Amino acid sequence: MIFIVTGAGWLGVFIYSGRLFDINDDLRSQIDSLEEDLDPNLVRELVNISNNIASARAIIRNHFLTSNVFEFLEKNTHPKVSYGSISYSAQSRKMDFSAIAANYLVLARQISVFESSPMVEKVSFGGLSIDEGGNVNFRLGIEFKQELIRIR
Amino acid sequence: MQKITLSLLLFLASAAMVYYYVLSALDAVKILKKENAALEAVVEEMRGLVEKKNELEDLYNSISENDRRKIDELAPVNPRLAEFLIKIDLLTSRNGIHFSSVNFGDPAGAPENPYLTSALSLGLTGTYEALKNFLKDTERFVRIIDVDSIGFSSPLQFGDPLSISFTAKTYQSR
Repeated sequence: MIFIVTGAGWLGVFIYSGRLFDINDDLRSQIDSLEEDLDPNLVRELVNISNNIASARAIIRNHFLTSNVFEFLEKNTHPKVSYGSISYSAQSRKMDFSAIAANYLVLARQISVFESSPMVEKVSFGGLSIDEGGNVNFRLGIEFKQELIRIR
Repeated sequence: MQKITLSLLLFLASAAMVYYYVLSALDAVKILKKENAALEAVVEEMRGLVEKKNELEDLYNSISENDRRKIDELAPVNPRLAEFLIKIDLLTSRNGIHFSSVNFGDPAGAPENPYLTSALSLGLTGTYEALKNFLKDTERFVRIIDVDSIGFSSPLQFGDPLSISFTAKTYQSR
């Protein structure tokens, strides 16, 4: 009886291991077939284009139109105000000027125009002085809102 | 007596069979099971990769050749500085701006960003109108150029060109 049970047990293990060998062969052939699908050159090219698209998305999201700032200035500068020097920093979205206004009233109107614009975050001015011709020299700083330079 | 001897022999034969065949076959089964589990994991992982590859292939096929070239140019994989310099010259000259100096910084960027940035610094001369046109042209240029700073002073005489300092950044895909 023990001999028969042992023999049957061995037969069972033998059949089971045969089944496992079949599964093993099947898995190996699946791997071979999947490897054929993964052509390294094609995968490399696909990964490159995918990375480039990710870069492009991130870069375009942060791309700003600085020329809008100059157009804003042209539209909103009082005819009796002129600028001596201009510097613009994209990081702070701030433009600093040295400027000349025909008189204090013009200066006040100019500041008021900038302050009331929905595209301006903050206006600062100082360094007021009157030159020989009665013009008011001043320094001006305008911090623009992001909407002005954002791509629409 | 004969029965006992036969039983004993069969018992010994069974023990020998268990020792020499069954136990080694069981060991082989254990090894095979482990190997199959590892192969199954590999197949699963490769299926995921093939699925991802198919998704990327669909995306790739949905983009025209022309757009793929634009994406490559927008943030190229290498700086292509010589080609970029020629394009800067084209951008400036067609807008009536002249550049007196140009400097390129080394590409750098945070590891989490999918791109690197390079600083570009230009010394320019030209009228205010020319500068505005140059800026608009730069903003539409296929290789992205983002202005960092611009500075200029009004000329001593009306109509004279402005002396403009211009710094910007360009991008490079990793």
